[in-house]
Amino acid sequence: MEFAFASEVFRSRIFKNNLCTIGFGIILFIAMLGLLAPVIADDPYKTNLAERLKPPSLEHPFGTDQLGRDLFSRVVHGARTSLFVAMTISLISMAIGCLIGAVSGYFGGIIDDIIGRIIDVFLAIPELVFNIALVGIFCVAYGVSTWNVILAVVITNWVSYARITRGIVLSLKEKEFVLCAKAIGARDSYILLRHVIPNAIGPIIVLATLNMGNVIMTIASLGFLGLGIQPPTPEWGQILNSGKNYITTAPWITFFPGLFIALSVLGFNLLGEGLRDVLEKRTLEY
Amino acid sequence: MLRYIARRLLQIVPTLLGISIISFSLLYIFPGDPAEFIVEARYAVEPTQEMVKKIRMEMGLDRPMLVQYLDWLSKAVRGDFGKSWTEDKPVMDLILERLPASAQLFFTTFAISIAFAMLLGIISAIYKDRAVDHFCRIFSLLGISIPSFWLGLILIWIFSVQLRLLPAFGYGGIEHLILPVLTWSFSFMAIKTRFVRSCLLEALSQDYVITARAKGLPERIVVLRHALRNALIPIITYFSLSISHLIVGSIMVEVVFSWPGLGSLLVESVFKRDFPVVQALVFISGVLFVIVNLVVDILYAVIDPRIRYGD
Repeated sequence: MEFAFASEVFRSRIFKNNLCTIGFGIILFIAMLGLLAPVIADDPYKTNLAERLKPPSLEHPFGTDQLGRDLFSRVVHGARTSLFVAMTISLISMAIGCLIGAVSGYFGGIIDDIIGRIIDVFLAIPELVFNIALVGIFCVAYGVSTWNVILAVVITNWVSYARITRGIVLSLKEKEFVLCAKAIGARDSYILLRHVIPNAIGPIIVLATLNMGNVIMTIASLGFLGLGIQPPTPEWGQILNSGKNYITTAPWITFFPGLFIALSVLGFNLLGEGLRDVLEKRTLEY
Repeated sequence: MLRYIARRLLQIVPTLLGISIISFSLLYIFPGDPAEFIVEARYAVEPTQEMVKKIRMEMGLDRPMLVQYLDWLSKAVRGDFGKSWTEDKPVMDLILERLPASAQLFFTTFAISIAFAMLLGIISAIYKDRAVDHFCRIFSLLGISIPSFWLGLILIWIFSVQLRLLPAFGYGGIEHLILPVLTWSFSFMAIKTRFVRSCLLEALSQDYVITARAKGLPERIVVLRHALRNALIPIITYFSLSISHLIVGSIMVEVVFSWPGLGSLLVESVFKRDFPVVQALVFISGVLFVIVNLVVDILYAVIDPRIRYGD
């Protein structure tokens, strides 16, 4: 009862925030397109050389590409690829990062020193440089696959989660209510469930939302460089890459996938910023 | 002061070691013999037993890993990253050839972005929550959301394909610089604009600003002389930190415009499987980040004595 009331208040506060509403709307729109892709769009793999490089029309709302494939189908199916891969990456890095960060902050001492240094090292190497190097090496070592992209991005991406979780746990350790809980003999698992997780969840949700935007951008960047998810699987960055050679004759191949990258990144950035406004006001009450 | 510098220097040692270990081990994380890859990359033929053996001896790949690492590190700190696998040149020469183009692109973008970020940030802060401020916020959100490679291609389509005003790619004169700088500046200044805005707002909420206003000073003087001056320290720090983007901050822009800088070099080297170059760029960009941070920290402590004792 009490929980239902709190979540009601909370929900209304989230949707009263314009940034959240717009961001959520954009994400919902793209996710729906992706989910409904098999219903609303054609086969993204069907080539038709008689229909190549056709401008947008009623039959092909986004035009066709160099192999005569319907660009609308490819872009809409691309939403599935991008969102699915980005979510996989975010969830894996969140699990790894939060665990490492929590261990580091909670146990402190030498463990914290070592993990702290490792985090510093990963923060120092520019993410995209590291990603490109890793994907390149994985391709040589294991052959080309989507898992290369996932693995490479996870390797750089867990760090932000680890850093924020570590910070939260460190600051909570000093808080009176945690010290009190310890003093009355509460077990570690109780403190973790009752105090640490509820306080950490807000900032982590904000980070995860903003991070989804970053990851989508990274996947698209790697795709554009020809190092990401490989054709014929439709992926926005990679469609853009193929469109760049036809920029003079068929600019729509470049235009539409880029628009969807920008929209989805914008959606997650808006939602993340909005959530930060809402959730951080809440943490300030302490 | 000297003690502070010494302590900060000591602190970066493990980070630098970590960066070197990661860069070095990039070549060893895959299964298989690096010597075989070198033969394949260099001669583009199926490696024979003899060739592999020769390369292994030549590169010292038969030594223990720790010896190889120490050897690599002692050369790397002197700027010697060995020879390229695909070209008959030292890795460092390849990097130095590309550095001027990257530097030109970076410093032009840097200068333009700072000027506009300051201007927009100040206007935003003065007219907080008014139309101009909202416009600036939307502008900076778009700056971080729009992929630079897409923006670059669209600018190429407008200015090179349709209007035929500017070259679509290449390196040389001012006209080649305009589109890449425009593209990069759009995202480069986005976050900086917001940073300037929030620093200035923070300063404007301080007591000395109320005093200045109460004295009846004109708003222009309150903002520019009292608030902005105080906000300038974090702003300059933040701007200086972005110098670490010099080496490979513009990979996507360079690739779109075929700009012969270090970002293109990185991508080309990955495709040519010239991994010593990749290794060197990972190492250098990481080290540059650490050093820029260190220098900025030290300068900050010089300017603001509270830092030295507070920590």
